[in-house]
Amino acid sequence: MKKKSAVSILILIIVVSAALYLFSQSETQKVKVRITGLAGQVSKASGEAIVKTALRLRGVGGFFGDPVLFEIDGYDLWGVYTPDEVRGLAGAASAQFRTFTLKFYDIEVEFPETEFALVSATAIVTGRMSSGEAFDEAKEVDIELIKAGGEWYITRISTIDVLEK
Amino acid sequence: MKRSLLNRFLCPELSLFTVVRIAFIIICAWVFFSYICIPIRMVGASMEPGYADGGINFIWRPAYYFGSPERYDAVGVRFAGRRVMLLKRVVAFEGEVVEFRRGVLYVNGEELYEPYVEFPCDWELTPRIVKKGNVYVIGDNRDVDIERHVFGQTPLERLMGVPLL
Repeated sequence: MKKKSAVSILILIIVVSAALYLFSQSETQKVKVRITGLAGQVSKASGEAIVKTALRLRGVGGFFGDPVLFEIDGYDLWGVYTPDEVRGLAGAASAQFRTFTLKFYDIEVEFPETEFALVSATAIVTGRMSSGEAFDEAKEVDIELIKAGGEWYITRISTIDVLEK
Repeated sequence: MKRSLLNRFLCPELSLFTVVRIAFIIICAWVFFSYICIPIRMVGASMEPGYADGGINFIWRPAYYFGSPERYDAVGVRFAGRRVMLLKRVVAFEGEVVEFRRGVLYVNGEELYEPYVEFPCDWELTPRIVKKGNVYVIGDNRDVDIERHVFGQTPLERLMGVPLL
């Protein structure tokens, strides 16, 4: 009897652990897809048509919660914004670039609380200004997201100084 | 007919032993190139002329397993993970005072001998103390504005190792 109970408990523990692991993995994947989706949404290819740019930028606001806090050094992005304001900012910024590519590497996701995700990643921006000047910069970023209505929304993006002059 | 040793080495018979051996080699290679000797492609001219833009190198992680960085060591400084690093040179340690005067680097008030710097600069940087647990790193190529060159102090934990080549 005791042996049967022990086996049952062990099986239950394994099933619950597996379920928790799978749940965590799927949520991690969702958050990663959200982050890389944002990168694709703000990136601008060379010679992109105006209509395509407008359509691309229209979707940018949908990645962000209301409000969202930006603490991004070097790009004059510091403060609290609404998703509509973020879309406006993305439009204004897009006009200054001939090409712009944002990519995230080493994306690590943690869930300190239910429906709250903390992401650590390396962001690399490359491209060319309208003036022709090329740029290539890497930043370590912390991103906070909350889950609402089954979707993850970015509520904070901040950069971390790897080197401090 | 007996096969030659070379023939058996290059085209082994498909057996359980062969599969296990191949899997073992793949796992060892993955561990070695992910955690011990990380291949890198250099982007940017911040370490020229010693390390050329576009060059291939390897970051040797065991260099600091049992020791600490020394002055003049070229080091890989990580961002959020292993995939993106800055390649810089260690010039000062915790408690030391770093400053630039008319493009010359001074550590604790004394001019630092820097044979690896070939391009002169006119950088001015007021004296600053390297914090506890940090090292001060700078690129060899000072042929850009001080604002555009990424350098400064960083925690020792961020040092990934030294370039092998």
